[in-house]
Amino acid sequence: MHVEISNASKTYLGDRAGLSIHALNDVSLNVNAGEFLCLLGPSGCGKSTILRLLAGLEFPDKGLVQIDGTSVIHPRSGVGMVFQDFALFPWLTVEENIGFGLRLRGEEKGTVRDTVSRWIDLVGLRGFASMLPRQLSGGMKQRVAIARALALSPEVLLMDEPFGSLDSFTRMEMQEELIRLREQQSFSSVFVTHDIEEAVYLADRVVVMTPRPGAIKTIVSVPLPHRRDRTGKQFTEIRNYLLSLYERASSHLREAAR
Amino acid sequence: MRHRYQRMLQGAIALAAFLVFWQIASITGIFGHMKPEYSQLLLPTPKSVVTAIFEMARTGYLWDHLSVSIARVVVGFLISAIIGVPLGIAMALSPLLNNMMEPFVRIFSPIPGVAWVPLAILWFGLGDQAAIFIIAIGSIFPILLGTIQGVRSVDRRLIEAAKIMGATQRKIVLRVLLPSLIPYLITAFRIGFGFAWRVVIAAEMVGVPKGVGYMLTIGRSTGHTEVTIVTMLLLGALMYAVEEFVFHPLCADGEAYASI
Repeated sequence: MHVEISNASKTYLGDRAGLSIHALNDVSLNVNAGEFLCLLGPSGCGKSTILRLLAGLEFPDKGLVQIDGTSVIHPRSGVGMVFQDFALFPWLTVEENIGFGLRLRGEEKGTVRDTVSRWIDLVGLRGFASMLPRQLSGGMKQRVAIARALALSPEVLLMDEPFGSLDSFTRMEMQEELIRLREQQSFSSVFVTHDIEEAVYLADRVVVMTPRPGAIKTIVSVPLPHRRDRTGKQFTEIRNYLLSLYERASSHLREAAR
Repeated sequence: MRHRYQRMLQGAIALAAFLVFWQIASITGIFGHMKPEYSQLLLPTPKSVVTAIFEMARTGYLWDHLSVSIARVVVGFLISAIIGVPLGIAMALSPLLNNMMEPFVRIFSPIPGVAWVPLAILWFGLGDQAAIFIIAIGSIFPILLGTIQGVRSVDRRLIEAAKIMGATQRKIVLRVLLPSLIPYLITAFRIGFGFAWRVVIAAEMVGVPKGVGYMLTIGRSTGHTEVTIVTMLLLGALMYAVEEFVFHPLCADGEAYASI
């Protein structure tokens, strides 16, 4: 599946104060099949907006969002999404949550059961199948949400700060888990984060974004094999380089404010 | 555990003291304020109330009237739920319908259900239909407003998650909206049910024949005050039972549906 955004702009019109928010300004981006792309930036840089455009939940005011050459005008199959605050159905058990999309598709009961059980094993939730989301920890909830999205075998997985609400140890564990899952099943990923280290750990390419209006500043490749050593020399160099891009941006802002 | 028995014992002693006080008041003519024969009419002794309970239960009188009221409440309540829930969902989803219905809701919802009694009797006569009409009107607004509020507070992300997984509009209503509504519906039904009972009692007191409201008045007007007191105790027991055995467990289940 080839994902392409060309010259997309998006403005959210008037809240009560009549302020419009220029969320995206002339953004062009493509995601190659199987690639792991991280959208990195502070809040307000439009990274979640890009995800919502790709999901077909919103549309650009200008420009095009295309998957395999056709415009994305509604959510389409082959694209899955994982939300920051999990968005699990609180009244469904772990296995019912994971099987939700399969049942929507009208898959046979047996197929649903087998697929769900395979994913419960893959994300390490054996023994928790009949629990409700509120009985689980944050990390476990996000495992359920990831399994729910991947059970539909998407070709593109959109993730909106999926580990943002987890503590840093759980977050590292989940990052490794995600890399491991990608070895099981191939899919392209568009992963939104404001954590520089997370981006360097996960991404093939890091899209560096800046706010007001949301725009792409540059794209940085991370040519390191997985599993990456967070304390390694190359890893640290790339992380420091990304950090310096934002340091400069914020000093510009400080100057502009003066 | 000791504390629990101690608390129950203290409660039981207070209750026994109350019964003794009641007994003395009714046989001494409210402490000498009136002739004892007279005072038994105003305040029958606890014993005569207990006797009346067994007597009324034995002859079937109690169940006759109680079942009539229960049937009226159930039918009226079902009607308002069948109209109120779908209408509430439709109003919450369609701005046009909401704008059209809003003036009616604003005008009619503050009118107490009991105020419909005279019109209902005029339109439907003194019978079940009038009672059912008043119950339905008295309980529909809490159900309608609760449903609207429930739909509006549905977690947007859950709808988006379902959409991305390929849910159609219909599936979103069935699989996401309705389950999300459950805690709100339980609350709405609880309030609606309270309204329904109050209204049916009022209607039966002013002339709709049979039922518990009728028992309350007939006890007074025929000089069998103990019947009125028995009915009051019965109503208390009934509301308590419904709260304890229906709504309380439902609410505990409903919490599972609340957002995480």
